[in-house]
Amino acid sequence: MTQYLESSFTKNKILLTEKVVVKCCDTARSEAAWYLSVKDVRIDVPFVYFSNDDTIVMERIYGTKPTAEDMVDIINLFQSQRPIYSTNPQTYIDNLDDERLRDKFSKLPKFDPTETFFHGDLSTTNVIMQGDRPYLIDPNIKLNVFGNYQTDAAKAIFSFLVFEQDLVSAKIIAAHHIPEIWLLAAAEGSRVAKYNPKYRTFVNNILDIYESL
Amino acid sequence: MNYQVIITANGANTRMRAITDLPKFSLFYKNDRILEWLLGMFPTAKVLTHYEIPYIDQSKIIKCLPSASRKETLANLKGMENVLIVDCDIIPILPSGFDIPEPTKDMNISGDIVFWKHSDNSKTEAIPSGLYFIKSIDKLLTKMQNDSIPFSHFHPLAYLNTIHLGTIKEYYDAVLGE
Repeated sequence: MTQYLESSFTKNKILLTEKVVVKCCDTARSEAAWYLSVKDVRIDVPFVYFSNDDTIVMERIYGTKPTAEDMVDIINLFQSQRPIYSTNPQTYIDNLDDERLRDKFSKLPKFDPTETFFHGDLSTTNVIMQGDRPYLIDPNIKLNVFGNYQTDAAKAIFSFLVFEQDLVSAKIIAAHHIPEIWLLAAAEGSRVAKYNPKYRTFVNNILDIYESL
Repeated sequence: MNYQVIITANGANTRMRAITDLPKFSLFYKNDRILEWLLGMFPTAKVLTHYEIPYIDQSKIIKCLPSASRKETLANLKGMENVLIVDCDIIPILPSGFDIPEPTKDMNISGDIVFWKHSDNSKTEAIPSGLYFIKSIDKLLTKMQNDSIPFSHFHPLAYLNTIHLGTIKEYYDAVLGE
């Protein structure tokens, strides 16, 4: 059975067969490079059959959604791994289109600029569990934008709270980090809101959580 | 006729706990909290609540004890007449330039009014909008047998479309819907 999809956020075209995923996107090269780099991180990823500037063809992975504890394990692993490339943390702040967030980050003493390995879109839909083995798909690596284990943790928090409607799991992940992780979660939400401005409502709710701490 | 607007914000917040620790009226809808939307539409309204609400003018708050039912909440308003009760988990949709209809002037009636909206559910044509004009709180309390306002006693009905935000599904549908 073949399925044809369009990503609700990026509008990327995706063709799914029983065993293969064909994704048309302008990030195909960087995605393929990320999948190759994961060999050193002991994380499973789909096998990449082919990639060029606008298409990536890879193995289709089946499984279940991760728990908060699964996400914590992945984030801890990333924290101990070297980054693929080096960037200035300021690029993350500069890439935010929400002036309030940029202002809050500029006053933030604890934004950890430590560069580590990261995924760039560590949402519950991009981690597929086969038993206790996580497979990671759809990395979002922009070559000039900073990310680290904290930005991945923040996206996981946003994903549990907003996509899964699961505040408890979001709090489990947040408990492993400094309180400012909620500000990063709002920032990750604002990146989602770039594609769909309706998500700004959720960014406001998360900022409320951060400011009430 | 003058009437007082009371926003009832005294629920236990059981239905939204999966997404927030805050009372549901403090959740955002776009760039303002639900309660801020309501106070913007009803500038003279008072808020009947047991919660601390630091982000609004404190003179607007009528403090009460937590209650287990709507009847218990409304009992805090004993003696009041001509009251527009507004649930705290709705936002009225008003055409530009229009105000909430002043119940007695626009409708030339002297009894209680319940506002209704069309339902998307095929089994019910209409559901309450979340606003009720009450002539006498005391008389209403004697009619109330349980948590529900006895709609059979509201002979005049009025239409007012509202966005419902009281459950997680309603909230997500409103925030992400078209």
